[in-house]
Amino acid sequence: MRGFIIKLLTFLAGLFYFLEFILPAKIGRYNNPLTPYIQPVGEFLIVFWGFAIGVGALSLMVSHYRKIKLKRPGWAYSIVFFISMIAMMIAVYLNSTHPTPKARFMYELLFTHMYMPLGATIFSLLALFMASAAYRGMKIRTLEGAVMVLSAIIVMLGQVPIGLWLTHRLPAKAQLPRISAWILNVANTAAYRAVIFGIAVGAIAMAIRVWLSLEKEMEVK
Amino acid sequence: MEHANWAIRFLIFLLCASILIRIWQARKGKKLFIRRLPGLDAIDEAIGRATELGKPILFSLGLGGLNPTTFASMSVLRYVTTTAAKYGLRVIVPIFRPEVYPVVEDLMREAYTVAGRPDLFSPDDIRFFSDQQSTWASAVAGTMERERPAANFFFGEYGFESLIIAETGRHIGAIQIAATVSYYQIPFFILACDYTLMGEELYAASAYLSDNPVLRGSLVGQDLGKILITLLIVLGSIGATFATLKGIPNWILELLKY
Repeated sequence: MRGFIIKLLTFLAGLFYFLEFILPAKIGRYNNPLTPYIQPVGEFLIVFWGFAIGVGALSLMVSHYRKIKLKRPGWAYSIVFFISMIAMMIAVYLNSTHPTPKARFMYELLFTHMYMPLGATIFSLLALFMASAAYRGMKIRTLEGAVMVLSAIIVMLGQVPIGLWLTHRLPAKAQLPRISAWILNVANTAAYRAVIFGIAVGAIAMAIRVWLSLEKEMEVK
Repeated sequence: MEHANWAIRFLIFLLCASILIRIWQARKGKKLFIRRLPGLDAIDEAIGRATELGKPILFSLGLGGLNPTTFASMSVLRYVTTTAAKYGLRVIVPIFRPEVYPVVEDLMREAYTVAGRPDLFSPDDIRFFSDQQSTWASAVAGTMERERPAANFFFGEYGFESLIIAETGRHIGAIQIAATVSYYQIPFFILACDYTLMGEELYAASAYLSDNPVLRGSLVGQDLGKILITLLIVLGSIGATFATLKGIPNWILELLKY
Protein backbone atom coordinates (compact mmCIF):
# COMPACT_ATOMS: atom_id res chain seq x y z
CA MET A 1 0.00 0.00 0.00
CA ARG A 2 2.82 2.39 0.95
CA GLY A 3 4.55 1.69 -2.35
CA PHE A 4 1.34 2.27 -4.30
CA ILE A 5 0.74 5.65 -2.62
CA ILE A 6 4.31 6.79 -3.35
CA LYS A 7 4.02 5.69 -6.98
CA LEU A 8 0.65 7.43 -7.30
CA LEU A 9 2.01 10.68 -5.81
CA THR A 10 5.05 10.53 -8.08
CA PHE A 11 2.81 10.02 -11.10
CA LEU A 12 0.43 12.84 -10.13
CA ALA A 13 3.30 15.27 -9.43
CA GLY A 14 4.84 14.46 -12.82
CA LEU A 15 1.48 14.72 -14.52
CA PHE A 16 0.92 18.20 -13.08
CA TYR A 17 4.12 19.64 -14.59
CA PHE A 18 3.68 17.68 -17.83
CA LEU A 19 0.11 18.90 -18.42
CA GLU A 20 0.97 22.47 -17.41
CA PHE A 21 3.63 22.53 -20.13
CA ILE A 22 1.70 20.64 -22.79
CA LEU A 23 -1.56 22.58 -22.47
CA PRO A 24 -1.55 25.96 -24.25
CA ALA A 25 -1.54 29.20 -22.27
CA LYS A 26 -5.04 29.97 -23.59
CA ILE A 27 -7.63 27.25 -24.15
CA GLY A 28 -10.39 29.09 -26.01
CA ARG A 29 -11.54 31.87 -23.69
CA TYR A 30 -9.93 30.27 -20.64
CA ASN A 31 -6.38 30.43 -19.29
CA ASN A 32 -4.34 27.30 -18.64
CA PRO A 33 -5.97 26.02 -15.38
CA LEU A 34 -2.70 24.66 -13.95
CA THR A 35 -0.43 27.68 -14.45
CA PRO A 36 -1.68 29.57 -11.33
CA TYR A 37 -0.60 26.61 -9.18
CA ILE A 38 2.99 26.55 -10.46
CA GLN A 39 4.18 29.13 -7.90
CA PRO A 40 2.49 27.57 -4.83
CA VAL A 41 3.82 24.12 -5.79
CA GLY A 42 7.30 25.62 -6.20
CA GLU A 43 7.03 27.26 -2.77
CA PHE A 44 5.92 23.95 -1.25
CA LEU A 45 9.03 22.33 -2.70
CA ILE A 46 11.21 25.06 -1.14
CA VAL A 47 9.62 24.35 2.28
CA PHE A 48 10.14 20.63 1.71
CA TRP A 49 13.78 21.32 0.85
CA GLY A 50 14.10 23.24 4.13
CA PHE A 51 13.16 20.08 6.03
CA ALA A 52 15.70 18.13 3.99
CA ILE A 53 18.44 20.58 5.03
CA GLY A 54 17.52 19.69 8.62
CA VAL A 55 17.96 15.99 7.86
CA GLY A 56 21.37 16.67 6.30
CA ALA A 57 22.54 18.84 9.21
CA LEU A 58 21.32 16.24 11.70
CA SER A 59 23.24 13.47 9.94
CA LEU A 60 26.36 15.61 9.98
CA MET A 61 26.01 16.28 13.72
CA VAL A 62 25.31 12.63 14.56
CA SER A 63 28.32 11.52 12.50
CA HIS A 64 30.67 13.95 14.30
CA TYR A 65 29.13 13.16 17.70
CA ARG A 66 29.85 9.44 17.17
CA LYS A 67 33.38 10.26 16.15
CA ILE A 68 33.97 12.18 19.40
CA LYS A 69 32.20 9.58 21.53
CA LEU A 70 34.20 6.67 20.11
CA LYS A 71 37.45 8.72 20.05
CA ARG A 72 38.05 7.81 16.40
CA PRO A 73 41.17 9.20 14.65
CA GLY A 74 40.77 12.94 14.07
CA TRP A 75 38.00 13.30 16.67
CA ALA A 76 39.40 16.66 17.74
CA TYR A 77 38.39 18.09 14.35
CA SER A 78 34.81 17.11 15.13
CA ILE A 79 34.95 19.39 18.17
CA VAL A 80 36.13 22.18 15.85
CA PHE A 81 33.11 21.37 13.64
CA PHE A 82 30.66 21.82 16.54
CA ILE A 83 32.34 25.04 17.72
CA SER A 84 32.32 26.48 14.16
CA MET A 85 28.72 25.49 13.55
CA ILE A 86 27.42 26.94 16.83
CA ALA A 87 29.48 30.14 16.38
CA MET A 88 28.13 30.65 12.85
CA MET A 89 24.55 29.95 13.94
CA ILE A 90 24.82 32.53 16.75
CA ALA A 91 26.43 35.09 14.42
CA VAL A 92 23.76 34.70 11.72
CA TYR A 93 20.92 34.72 14.26
CA LEU A 94 22.17 37.84 16.06
CA ASN A 95 22.95 39.66 12.82
CA SER A 96 19.43 38.95 11.49
CA THR A 97 17.43 39.63 14.64
CA HIS A 98 19.57 42.18 16.59
CA PRO A 99 21.77 43.85 13.98
CA THR A 100 24.02 45.69 16.47
CA PRO A 101 27.59 46.67 15.45
CA LYS A 102 28.95 43.80 17.58
CA ALA A 103 26.66 41.24 15.89
CA ARG A 104 27.61 42.67 12.50
CA PHE A 105 31.31 42.44 13.40
CA MET A 106 30.94 38.80 14.49
CA TYR A 107 29.09 37.90 11.28
CA GLU A 108 31.60 39.74 9.06
CA LEU A 109 34.50 38.12 10.85
CA LEU A 110 33.18 34.59 10.50
CA PHE A 111 31.51 34.76 7.09
CA THR A 112 33.16 37.52 5.06
CA HIS A 113 36.67 37.29 6.50
CA MET A 114 36.95 33.55 7.24
CA TYR A 115 34.47 31.47 5.26
CA MET A 116 34.63 33.35 1.97
CA PRO A 117 38.46 33.46 1.72
CA LEU A 118 38.53 29.73 2.49
CA GLY A 119 36.10 29.15 -0.39
CA ALA A 120 38.19 31.33 -2.69
CA THR A 121 41.30 29.37 -1.69
CA ILE A 122 39.70 26.09 -2.73
CA PHE A 123 38.57 27.69 -6.01
CA SER A 124 42.08 28.96 -6.66
CA LEU A 125 43.42 25.39 -6.44
CA LEU A 126 41.82 24.96 -9.86
CA ALA A 127 44.67 26.88 -11.47
CA LEU A 128 47.22 24.35 -10.23
CA PHE A 129 45.06 21.34 -11.05
CA MET A 130 44.26 22.72 -14.50
CA ALA A 131 47.95 23.14 -15.28
CA SER A 132 48.80 19.59 -14.17
CA ALA A 133 45.80 18.13 -16.07
CA ALA A 134 46.65 20.14 -19.20
CA TYR A 135 50.26 18.94 -19.02
CA ARG A 136 49.05 15.33 -19.01
CA GLY A 137 46.57 16.04 -21.80
CA MET A 138 49.25 17.62 -23.97
CA LYS A 139 51.31 14.43 -24.21
CA ILE A 140 51.01 13.06 -27.73
CA ARG A 141 50.52 9.31 -27.62
CA THR A 142 47.91 8.74 -30.34
CA LEU A 143 46.70 10.40 -33.52
CA GLU A 144 43.68 11.79 -31.63
CA GLY A 145 46.06 13.20 -29.01
CA ALA A 146 48.08 14.91 -31.75
CA VAL A 147 44.93 16.47 -33.24
CA MET A 148 43.92 17.71 -29.79
CA VAL A 149 47.32 19.26 -29.10
CA LEU A 150 47.38 20.93 -32.53
CA SER A 151 43.88 22.35 -31.96
CA ALA A 152 44.87 23.54 -28.48
CA ILE A 153 47.97 25.31 -29.84
CA ILE A 154 45.94 27.00 -32.61
CA VAL A 155 43.19 28.09 -30.18
CA MET A 156 45.68 29.39 -27.62
CA LEU A 157 47.71 31.31 -30.22
CA GLY A 158 44.50 32.59 -31.79
CA GLN A 159 43.48 34.22 -28.52
CA VAL A 160 46.65 36.32 -28.12
CA PRO A 161 48.12 39.10 -30.33
CA ILE A 162 51.18 37.03 -31.24
CA GLY A 163 48.89 34.62 -33.14
CA LEU A 164 47.78 37.41 -35.46
CA TRP A 165 51.32 38.78 -35.73
CA LEU A 166 52.69 35.36 -36.77
CA THR A 167 50.16 34.95 -39.57
CA HIS A 168 49.32 38.53 -40.57
CA ARG A 169 50.94 38.11 -43.99
CA LEU A 170 48.70 35.15 -44.86
CA PRO A 171 45.21 35.53 -46.40
CA ALA A 172 42.56 36.44 -43.79
CA LYS A 173 41.04 32.93 -43.82
CA ALA A 174 44.40 31.32 -42.97
CA GLN A 175 45.19 33.60 -40.04
CA LEU A 176 45.33 31.96 -36.62
CA PRO A 177 42.52 34.01 -34.97
CA ARG A 178 40.14 33.00 -37.81
CA ILE A 179 41.08 29.31 -37.58
CA SER A 180 40.82 29.48 -33.81
CA ALA A 181 37.34 31.01 -34.03
CA TRP A 182 36.31 28.31 -36.52
CA ILE A 183 37.52 25.53 -34.17
CA LEU A 184 35.63 27.07 -31.23
CA ASN A 185 32.43 28.08 -33.02
CA VAL A 186 32.01 25.24 -35.51
CA ALA A 187 33.90 22.05 -34.56
CA ASN A 188 33.70 22.54 -30.79
CA THR A 189 30.11 23.78 -30.76
CA ALA A 190 28.97 20.90 -32.98
CA ALA A 191 30.50 18.36 -30.58
CA TYR A 192 28.97 20.07 -27.53
CA ARG A 193 25.54 20.22 -29.17
CA ALA A 194 25.72 16.52 -30.02
CA VAL A 195 26.43 15.80 -26.34
CA ILE A 196 23.58 18.11 -25.28
CA PHE A 197 21.10 16.36 -27.62
CA GLY A 198 22.11 12.98 -26.25
CA ILE A 199 21.76 14.22 -22.67
CA ALA A 200 18.33 15.74 -23.40
CA VAL A 201 16.95 12.54 -24.95
CA GLY A 202 18.54 10.42 -22.21
CA ALA A 203 17.03 12.68 -19.54
CA ILE A 204 13.57 12.35 -21.13
CA ALA A 205 13.87 8.54 -21.12
CA MET A 206 15.07 8.59 -17.51
CA ALA A 207 12.29 11.01 -16.52
CA ILE A 208 9.68 8.70 -18.07
CA ARG A 209 11.10 5.76 -16.09
CA VAL A 210 11.01 7.77 -12.85
CA TRP A 211 7.58 9.25 -13.59
CA LEU A 212 6.05 5.83 -14.27
CA SER A 213 8.05 4.29 -11.38
CA LEU A 214 9.75 1.86 -13.73
CA GLU A 215 13.19 2.67 -12.33
CA LYS A 216 14.60 0.28 -9.71
CA GLU A 217 15.33 3.23 -7.39
CA MET A 218 11.59 4.04 -7.30
CA GLU A 219 10.69 0.64 -5.86
CA VAL A 220 9.38 0.83 -2.31
CA LYS A 221 9.68 -2.21 -0.09
CA MET B 1 5.34 30.28 -17.96
CA GLU B 2 6.44 28.71 -21.22
CA HIS B 3 4.07 26.32 -22.94
CA ALA B 4 4.61 23.82 -25.73
CA ASN B 5 3.53 24.63 -29.29
CA TRP B 6 2.14 21.98 -31.64
CA ALA B 7 5.54 21.05 -33.06
CA ILE B 8 6.97 20.47 -29.56
CA ARG B 9 3.87 18.48 -28.55
CA PHE B 10 4.31 16.29 -31.62
CA LEU B 11 8.03 15.76 -30.91
CA ILE B 12 7.40 14.91 -27.25
CA PHE B 13 4.71 12.45 -28.32
CA LEU B 14 7.09 10.79 -30.82
CA LEU B 15 9.91 10.58 -28.26
CA CYS B 16 7.68 9.17 -25.52
CA ALA B 17 6.02 6.76 -27.95
CA SER B 18 9.36 5.43 -29.23
CA ILE B 19 10.55 4.83 -25.64
CA LEU B 20 7.28 3.27 -24.42
CA ILE B 21 6.94 1.02 -27.49
CA ARG B 22 10.47 -0.33 -26.96
CA ILE B 23 9.74 -0.92 -23.26
CA TRP B 24 6.60 -2.82 -24.26
CA GLN B 25 8.53 -4.88 -26.84
CA ALA B 26 11.25 -5.69 -24.29
CA ARG B 27 8.62 -6.78 -21.77
CA LYS B 28 7.16 -9.09 -24.41
CA GLY B 29 10.55 -10.82 -24.54
CA LYS B 30 12.19 -9.23 -27.59
CA LYS B 31 16.00 -9.35 -27.31
CA LEU B 32 17.50 -5.86 -27.52
CA PHE B 33 21.16 -5.18 -28.23
CA ILE B 34 23.15 -2.67 -26.16
CA ARG B 35 26.72 -1.83 -27.17
CA ARG B 36 29.57 -2.32 -24.69
CA LEU B 37 30.58 0.67 -22.56
CA PRO B 38 34.21 0.31 -21.35
CA GLY B 39 33.59 2.71 -18.44
CA LEU B 40 30.88 0.48 -17.01
CA ASP B 41 32.82 -2.71 -17.69
CA ALA B 42 35.62 -1.19 -15.62
CA ILE B 43 33.43 -0.94 -12.50
CA ASP B 44 34.12 -4.57 -11.58
CA GLU B 45 37.82 -4.03 -12.26
CA ALA B 46 37.84 -1.05 -9.88
CA ILE B 47 36.01 -3.01 -7.14
CA GLY B 48 38.44 -5.89 -7.67
CA ARG B 49 41.38 -3.58 -7.16
CA ALA B 50 39.86 -2.17 -3.97
CA THR B 51 39.38 -5.77 -2.74
CA GLU B 52 43.01 -6.65 -3.45
CA LEU B 53 44.24 -3.58 -1.59
CA GLY B 54 41.66 -3.91 1.19
CA LYS B 55 40.79 -0.23 0.86
CA PRO B 56 37.38 1.46 0.73
CA ILE B 57 35.57 2.81 -2.33
CA LEU B 58 34.40 6.40 -2.69
CA PHE B 59 31.22 7.00 -4.68
CA SER B 60 30.20 10.62 -5.28
CA LEU B 61 26.71 11.45 -6.57
CA GLY B 62 27.68 15.00 -7.51
CA LEU B 63 25.73 18.19 -7.02
CA GLY B 64 22.30 17.07 -8.25
CA GLY B 65 19.16 16.89 -6.14
CA LEU B 66 16.54 14.18 -6.53
CA ASN B 67 16.41 14.39 -10.32
CA PRO B 68 16.71 11.84 -13.16
CA THR B 69 20.50 12.22 -13.27
CA THR B 70 20.87 11.42 -9.57
CA PHE B 71 18.47 8.48 -9.89
CA ALA B 72 20.59 7.14 -12.76
CA SER B 73 23.72 7.54 -10.60
CA MET B 74 22.00 5.84 -7.69
CA SER B 75 21.39 2.71 -9.73
CA VAL B 76 25.15 2.47 -10.30
CA LEU B 77 25.72 3.15 -6.59
CA ARG B 78 23.38 0.24 -5.79
CA TYR B 79 25.38 -2.06 -8.08
CA VAL B 80 28.74 -0.90 -6.68
CA THR B 81 27.58 -1.22 -3.05
CA THR B 82 26.08 -4.68 -3.55
CA THR B 83 29.22 -5.94 -5.28
CA ALA B 84 31.55 -4.25 -2.78
CA ALA B 85 29.57 -5.66 0.16
CA LYS B 86 30.09 -9.20 -1.15
CA TYR B 87 33.84 -8.63 -0.80
CA GLY B 88 33.50 -6.94 2.58
CA LEU B 89 34.39 -3.46 1.34
CA ARG B 90 33.20 -0.11 2.67
CA VAL B 91 31.63 2.39 0.29
CA ILE B 92 31.92 6.05 1.30
CA VAL B 93 29.32 8.40 -0.20
CA PRO B 94 29.84 12.16 0.13
CA ILE B 95 26.50 13.97 -0.15
CA PHE B 96 25.99 17.49 -1.51
CA ARG B 97 22.21 17.90 -1.46
CA PRO B 98 20.59 17.05 1.89
CA GLU B 99 17.38 15.67 0.34
CA VAL B 100 19.46 12.95 -1.31
CA TYR B 101 20.77 11.73 2.07
CA PRO B 102 17.79 9.64 3.31
CA VAL B 103 17.32 8.03 -0.12
CA VAL B 104 20.98 7.03 -0.28
CA GLU B 105 20.90 5.73 3.31
CA ASP B 106 17.91 3.53 2.47
CA LEU B 107 19.51 2.34 -0.77
CA MET B 108 22.80 1.40 0.86
CA ARG B 109 21.21 -0.35 3.82
CA GLU B 110 19.20 -2.44 1.36
CA ALA B 111 22.24 -3.11 -0.86
CA TYR B 112 24.32 -4.40 2.08
CA THR B 113 21.38 -6.55 3.20
CA VAL B 114 20.86 -8.00 -0.29
CA ALA B 115 24.57 -8.87 -0.41
CA GLY B 116 24.19 -10.72 2.90
CA ARG B 117 26.39 -8.28 4.85
CA PRO B 118 24.02 -5.96 6.77
CA ASP B 119 26.66 -5.74 9.53
CA LEU B 120 28.96 -3.82 7.16
CA PHE B 121 26.48 -0.98 6.68
CA SER B 122 27.55 2.12 8.54
CA PRO B 123 25.55 5.37 8.35
CA ASP B 124 28.85 7.17 9.07
CA ASP B 125 29.99 6.30 5.56
CA ILE B 126 27.20 8.43 4.07
CA ARG B 127 28.43 11.93 4.74
CA PHE B 128 26.59 15.16 4.12
CA PHE B 129 29.32 17.79 4.05
CA SER B 130 27.80 20.96 2.71
CA ASP B 131 25.67 22.33 -0.11
CA GLN B 132 28.39 24.88 -0.97
CA GLN B 133 30.64 23.75 -3.81
CA SER B 134 34.02 24.87 -2.38
CA THR B 135 33.27 23.47 1.06
CA TRP B 136 32.04 20.21 -0.39
CA ALA B 137 35.05 19.88 -2.70
CA SER B 138 37.52 20.45 0.13
CA ALA B 139 35.66 17.93 2.33
CA VAL B 140 35.67 15.28 -0.44
CA ALA B 141 39.36 15.91 -1.18
CA GLY B 142 40.12 15.69 2.57
CA THR B 143 38.17 12.43 2.85
CA MET B 144 40.20 10.99 -0.03
CA GLU B 145 43.48 11.99 1.63
CA ARG B 146 42.45 10.47 4.97
CA GLU B 147 40.62 7.32 3.85
CA ARG B 148 42.82 6.60 0.79
CA PRO B 149 40.10 4.85 -1.28
CA ALA B 150 41.37 2.45 -3.93
CA ALA B 151 38.57 3.34 -6.34
CA ASN B 152 36.68 6.57 -6.91
CA PHE B 153 33.39 6.87 -8.76
CA PHE B 154 32.17 10.31 -9.82
CA PHE B 155 28.63 10.03 -11.16
CA GLY B 156 26.07 12.80 -11.63
CA GLU B 157 26.23 16.58 -12.09
CA TYR B 158 29.37 18.56 -11.36
CA GLY B 159 30.69 22.09 -11.43
CA PHE B 160 34.20 23.50 -11.09
CA GLU B 161 34.97 21.10 -8.21
CA SER B 162 35.16 18.18 -10.66
CA LEU B 163 38.84 18.81 -11.37
CA ILE B 164 39.70 19.39 -7.69
CA ILE B 165 38.29 16.05 -6.56
CA ALA B 166 39.38 14.08 -9.62
CA GLU B 167 42.95 15.37 -9.44
CA THR B 168 43.11 14.61 -5.71
CA GLY B 169 41.91 11.08 -6.49
CA ARG B 170 44.60 10.73 -9.12
CA HIS B 171 47.19 12.04 -6.67
CA ILE B 172 46.35 9.27 -4.15
CA GLY B 173 46.58 6.67 -6.93
CA ALA B 174 42.95 5.55 -7.01
CA ILE B 175 41.40 4.01 -10.11
CA GLN B 176 38.75 6.51 -11.19
CA ILE B 177 35.54 6.21 -13.20
CA ALA B 178 33.48 9.30 -13.97
CA ALA B 179 30.14 9.81 -15.65
CA THR B 180 28.62 13.24 -15.97
CA VAL B 181 25.98 15.13 -17.88
CA SER B 182 27.71 18.44 -17.07
CA TYR B 183 29.30 18.79 -20.48
CA TYR B 184 31.77 21.51 -19.50
CA GLN B 185 33.28 19.16 -16.92
CA ILE B 186 33.70 16.20 -19.30
CA PRO B 187 37.19 17.29 -20.54
CA PHE B 188 38.42 17.59 -16.94
CA PHE B 189 37.20 14.13 -16.07
CA ILE B 190 38.72 12.69 -19.26
CA LEU B 191 42.09 14.10 -18.24
CA ALA B 192 41.96 13.09 -14.60
CA CYS B 193 40.07 9.77 -14.64
CA ASP B 194 40.83 6.34 -16.04
CA TYR B 195 37.40 5.94 -17.63
CA THR B 196 34.81 8.60 -18.44
CA LEU B 197 31.22 8.14 -19.53
CA MET B 198 30.03 11.12 -21.52
CA GLY B 199 26.60 12.68 -21.24
CA GLU B 200 23.78 10.26 -22.00
CA GLU B 201 25.97 7.21 -21.28
CA LEU B 202 25.25 7.93 -17.62
CA TYR B 203 21.54 7.36 -18.22
CA ALA B 204 22.38 4.09 -19.95
CA ALA B 205 24.24 2.81 -16.90
CA SER B 206 21.26 1.41 -15.00
CA ALA B 207 20.01 -0.44 -18.09
CA TYR B 208 23.50 -1.70 -18.85
CA LEU B 209 24.18 -3.03 -15.36
CA SER B 210 20.87 -4.84 -15.01
CA ASP B 211 18.99 -7.35 -17.14
CA ASN B 212 15.74 -5.49 -16.53
CA PRO B 213 13.87 -5.49 -19.88
CA VAL B 214 12.09 -2.21 -19.02
CA LEU B 215 15.40 -0.38 -18.65
CA ARG B 216 16.89 -1.96 -21.75
CA GLY B 217 13.77 -1.15 -23.75
CA SER B 218 13.84 2.50 -22.73
CA LEU B 219 17.52 2.71 -23.68
CA VAL B 220 16.88 1.40 -27.19
CA GLY B 221 13.81 3.67 -27.38
CA GLN B 222 15.88 6.74 -26.62
CA ASP B 223 18.20 5.81 -29.49
CA LEU B 224 15.16 6.03 -31.77
CA GLY B 225 14.57 9.50 -30.33
CA LYS B 226 18.11 10.48 -31.22
CA ILE B 227 17.64 9.26 -34.80
CA LEU B 228 14.52 11.40 -34.94
CA ILE B 229 16.37 14.51 -33.74
CA THR B 230 19.25 13.83 -36.16
CA LEU B 231 16.71 13.61 -38.98
CA LEU B 232 15.28 16.93 -37.91
CA ILE B 233 18.76 18.51 -37.88
CA VAL B 234 19.46 17.22 -41.40
CA LEU B 235 16.09 18.55 -42.63
CA GLY B 236 16.74 21.86 -40.86
CA SER B 237 20.16 22.16 -42.51
CA ILE B 238 18.66 21.47 -45.96
CA GLY B 239 15.89 23.98 -45.24
CA ALA B 240 18.38 26.63 -44.08
CA THR B 241 20.58 26.05 -47.16
CA PHE B 242 17.63 26.42 -49.55
CA ALA B 243 16.39 29.44 -47.64
CA THR B 244 19.78 31.15 -48.06
CA LEU B 245 20.22 30.18 -51.73
CA LYS B 246 16.69 30.95 -52.91
CA GLY B 247 15.88 33.80 -50.54
CA ILE B 248 12.81 31.97 -49.21
CA PRO B 249 11.75 31.36 -45.57
CA ASN B 250 13.25 28.28 -43.86
CA TRP B 251 10.22 25.98 -44.01
CA ILE B 252 11.46 23.58 -41.32
CA LEU B 253 12.01 26.53 -38.94
CA GLU B 254 8.54 27.84 -39.73
CA LEU B 255 7.12 24.36 -39.06
CA LEU B 256 8.82 24.21 -35.65
CA LYS B 257 7.32 27.60 -34.71
CA TYR B 258 3.83 26.32 -35.41
